[in-house]
Amino acid sequence: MREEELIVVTAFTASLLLSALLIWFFISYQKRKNEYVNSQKDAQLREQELIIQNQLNLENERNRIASEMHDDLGSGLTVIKYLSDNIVSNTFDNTIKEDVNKIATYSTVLVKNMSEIIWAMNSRFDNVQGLISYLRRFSVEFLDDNNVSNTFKENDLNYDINISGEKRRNLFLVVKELLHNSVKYSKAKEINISITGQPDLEIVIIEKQSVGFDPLIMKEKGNGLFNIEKRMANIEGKISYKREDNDMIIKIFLHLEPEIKTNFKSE
Amino acid sequence: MIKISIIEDIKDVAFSVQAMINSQSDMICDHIFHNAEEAMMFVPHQDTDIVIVDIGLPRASGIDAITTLKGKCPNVLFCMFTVYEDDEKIFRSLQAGANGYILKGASKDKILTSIRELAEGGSPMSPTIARRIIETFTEKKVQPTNNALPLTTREMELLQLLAKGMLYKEIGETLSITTGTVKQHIHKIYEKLQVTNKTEAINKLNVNGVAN
Repeated sequence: MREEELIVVTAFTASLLLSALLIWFFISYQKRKNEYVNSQKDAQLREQELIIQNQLNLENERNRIASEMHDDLGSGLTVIKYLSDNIVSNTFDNTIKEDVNKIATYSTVLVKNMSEIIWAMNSRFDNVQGLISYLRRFSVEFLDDNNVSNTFKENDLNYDINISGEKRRNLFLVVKELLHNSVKYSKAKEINISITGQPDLEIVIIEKQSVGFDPLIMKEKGNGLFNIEKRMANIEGKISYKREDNDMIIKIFLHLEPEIKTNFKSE
Repeated sequence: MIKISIIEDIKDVAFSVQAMINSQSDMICDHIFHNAEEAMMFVPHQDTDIVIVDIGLPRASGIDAITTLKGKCPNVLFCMFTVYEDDEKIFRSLQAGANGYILKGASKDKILTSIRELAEGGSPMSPTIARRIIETFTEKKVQPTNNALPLTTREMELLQLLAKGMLYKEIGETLSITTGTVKQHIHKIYEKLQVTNKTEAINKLNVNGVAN
């Protein structure tokens, strides 16, 4: 072999080795990069799984508490009601009757209040539909029972918008308090409720032919209106009262994020 | 005369309801069971129109009792006796074959009216239960067999209004039917829910080859 040939072969082999080395280096770099990216992804995924698991645990815990309250306290309170009813039907003493009737009434009210808490805690109802159907059922039944004619209209509602249990419960209790006040003080013959939500919720309650009340005076008189303001502040909502001719117009506003939650699923 | 039996483990409650029923001229209750096991043994051999069933019982539940008894006594109506209306357990009872439910906290008049309505073929339903039933019928992934009864358009319409929280009176006005008809529709929907539940069980059997 001549010297030139040797140089060419050596140079050729050297460059081949060099490129092989470069390729190997490149591939292993890519591989390591991929491994790194994958491990990052895995870590992210694990973190997300952990968050989801925590949320699930929280939800399960909420449902467990709800169901225990449901089973033990609910049936216990019902027994009090039945025992009270027994005493009432077996006694001729009117004072005893009156007092025991109060016990029965309180236990029934407690069961109702508890069922409201359980409704608020149950994440299956965390959407606009969950809120509206509950509100509607309560309002119409309550006003019918008190002989106040009423309408309940929904306009342009997106049923699937997410709304937390805390917001649902506060809104429900605000409307409940307002309607209790209306029946007690306003002497309105007709109450019209309408709800809009795309996605911000606006609930308008119109008390027709209402004697009305001055919210400022009422605030000093009772806890009702104070509680309403406090509840609205808790959920960063607004409430306004306005008189128009003989009607009282109450507007409730709550900002909602256009976030969809459709977990109203069977287990 | 409506003949009624009661399954309720709390004796004070059971006897109160019995006294309430026996104070009426059109109904009578002379059978009380304090657990599901006794009821499952004796109810098939007695003459009863309606069985009022508490859900939470000491060993086997009220739902277990209905599952067993529904097959043995197809003409008996089963009515759940429960504290709350929006309960997952009520839904499962309805799937097992219950025809309605009565709230424990309801007034005496309300309880008696509910029993009479049930005897006449009417059933109550809350908005959340309506919603659950819509899902059960619309989200079915299994292919229905001949036994499965689909809901009629009218029944679906009615469920959707119920899910919105509308009362029977309002639904009647919206659909131009009487409140009585609304209740009868609901009674039929409950029957279909039960058939659907059975079909689902049969389908599961076909897919897996064994019952789970």
